[in-house]
Amino acid sequence: MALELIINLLLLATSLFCYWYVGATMPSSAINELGAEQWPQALLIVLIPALCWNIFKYFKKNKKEEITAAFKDFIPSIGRLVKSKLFAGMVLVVIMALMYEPIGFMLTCLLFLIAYGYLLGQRKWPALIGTSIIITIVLYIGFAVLLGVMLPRGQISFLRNLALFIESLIPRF
Amino acid sequence: MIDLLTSGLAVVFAPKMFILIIFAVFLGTLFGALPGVSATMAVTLGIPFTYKMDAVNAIAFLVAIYCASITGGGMTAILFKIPGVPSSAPTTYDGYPMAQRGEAGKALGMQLLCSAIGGIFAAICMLLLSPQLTQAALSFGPSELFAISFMGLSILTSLETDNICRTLISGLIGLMLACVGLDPLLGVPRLTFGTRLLTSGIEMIPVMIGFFAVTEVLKQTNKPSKLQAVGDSKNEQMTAKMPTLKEVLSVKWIIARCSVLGTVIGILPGAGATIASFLCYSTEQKLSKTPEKFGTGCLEGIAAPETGNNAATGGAWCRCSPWEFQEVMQPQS
Repeated sequence: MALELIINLLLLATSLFCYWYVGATMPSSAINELGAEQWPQALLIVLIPALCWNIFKYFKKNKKEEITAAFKDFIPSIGRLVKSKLFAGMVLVVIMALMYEPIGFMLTCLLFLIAYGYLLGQRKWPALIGTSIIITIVLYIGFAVLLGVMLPRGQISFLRNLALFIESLIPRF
Repeated sequence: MIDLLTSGLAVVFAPKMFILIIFAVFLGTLFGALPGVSATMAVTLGIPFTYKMDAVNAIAFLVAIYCASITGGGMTAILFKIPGVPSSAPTTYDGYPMAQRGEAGKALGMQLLCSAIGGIFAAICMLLLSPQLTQAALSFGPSELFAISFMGLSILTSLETDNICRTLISGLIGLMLACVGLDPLLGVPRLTFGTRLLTSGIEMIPVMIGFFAVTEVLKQTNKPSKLQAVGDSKNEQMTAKMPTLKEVLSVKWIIARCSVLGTVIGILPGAGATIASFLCYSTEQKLSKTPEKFGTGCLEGIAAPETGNNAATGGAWCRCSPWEFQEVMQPQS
C-alpha cells in the first residue's frame, strides 16, 4: 500500500522534472508551429493531473491510521525484499545488462546462466556449467550466425580475443 | 476471376512451390516464436532467400513467412508468457494461465485453429475485395490516420474499467516512453538525457520482453515450488488434448466477429496486427456475458486476439497488392 503512494509520488516528481527538462533542452519553436518539445509537454499536462488525482484517491480511500501502519511496515518489508531470491534475480539482471557491452555476449551469457541456475537451486556444478555452455552456444549460433545479429564481443582486449577465438571454432553458413 | 483463382491455385500447389511454402511456414513460425524477431524482421530475414526466385515464388514465400510468424508468436505467448511478436501480447493473458493449468494443448490448438480461420477469411477478403478496399484505404489522409491511432489508444478505456485513472496513467507513460529518441520531424534528440544509447528511442520488443518475459522469470525465481512441480501430481494432469468441437463451436461468433474486425483494421493504413489483436480482445471482453473470465485462462481470450491478428495480415496485404505486385510482376527489361 505504501509502495503505491511512493511510486505515484516518484512518477509525479519525474513528470515535473521531464516537463522542465524537455522545455529546457529542446530548441525553442516558433509560435505558429509545433516543436519537438510540445508533444511530450502536452502528454505531461494530462499525466501530472492524472497522477495528482490518483494520489488524492489514495488518501480518500485509505484511512490515516492505515497509511501510518503501512509506512511502519514498509522499512522491514524492504529488508525482506533484499534478502529474497527475487531481489538477487533483479540484481543479476542489472549486472548482466551492465556487463554485456564491456565483456561481451558469450562470457556474460555464460556467467549469467551459471549464476541464475545456482540461484534457482541447481547445485550440481557439471550439469550447471555444461547446460550453460550449451545454451550460450545455441543462442550464439541462433542469433549471430543464422540471424546475423551483431552481438558484442567485449571491450577488454583479451576477452575480445577469446570471443573471436570461440567464434572461429563455430562454422559460419 | 475464376480463371485467376484456378491459375493461382495451380501455381501454389505446384510441387516445388508447395515445398517452398512449407519451408517458409516453418521458417516464419520459428522466427515468430523467437522473442526479438518481429514479423517485419522475419520478412526481412527471408528476403535473401528470394534473390534467385521468380516474382511469384518470392511473393508467396514472403507472404507465408509473414503470416506464419504472426501465428508462431502466439505459441511462446501461451507456453512461456513471452509473446514472440507484439501482436501476440493479449494471447498471454489467457494462454499462459491455461498452460499453467495443464491445458497447453487445448490453448495451442485453439490458437492454431483461430489463426488459420482468421488468415483464410482475410485471404478470401483480399481475393474478392482487394481493389475496392485498396481504393478506400489509399484515400486516407493524415487526419484519418490520426483518428485510427486515437481509436487504438481508446482501447485503454476498456482494459480496466474499475480504475480508468490508472489505465490512463499507464497509457500516458507508454506514450512518454515513445517520445524518447530523435524527434521524427525536426531530428533533434528528445528526452535522451545526454545518453547516446537513447538516441534511437526505446524499441517495442525490448520493452515487451522486459514486461512479459523478465517479470515472469523473476516471479518464478521467487516461487521455486512451481519450478519443482515437474513430476508432481499436478503435472500428471497436463495433457496434449486439443479443443473439442463443442469448445470450438462455443467461440464461433468470436471468430466470426474478430475475422471481420481484424481484416478491416489490417486494411487501414497506420493500424496493424497489434492494434487488431488488442481491439479484438477488448471488444470480446465487452461483449462477453462473463467478462470476469477473461484473463484467467479462457478459450475466448485466445480466440479473439489470435483470429484478429491473423485476419489483419491478410488485410495488410490488400493495401500493397494491386500496385506493388503489378510492378514486381512486370518482366524485367
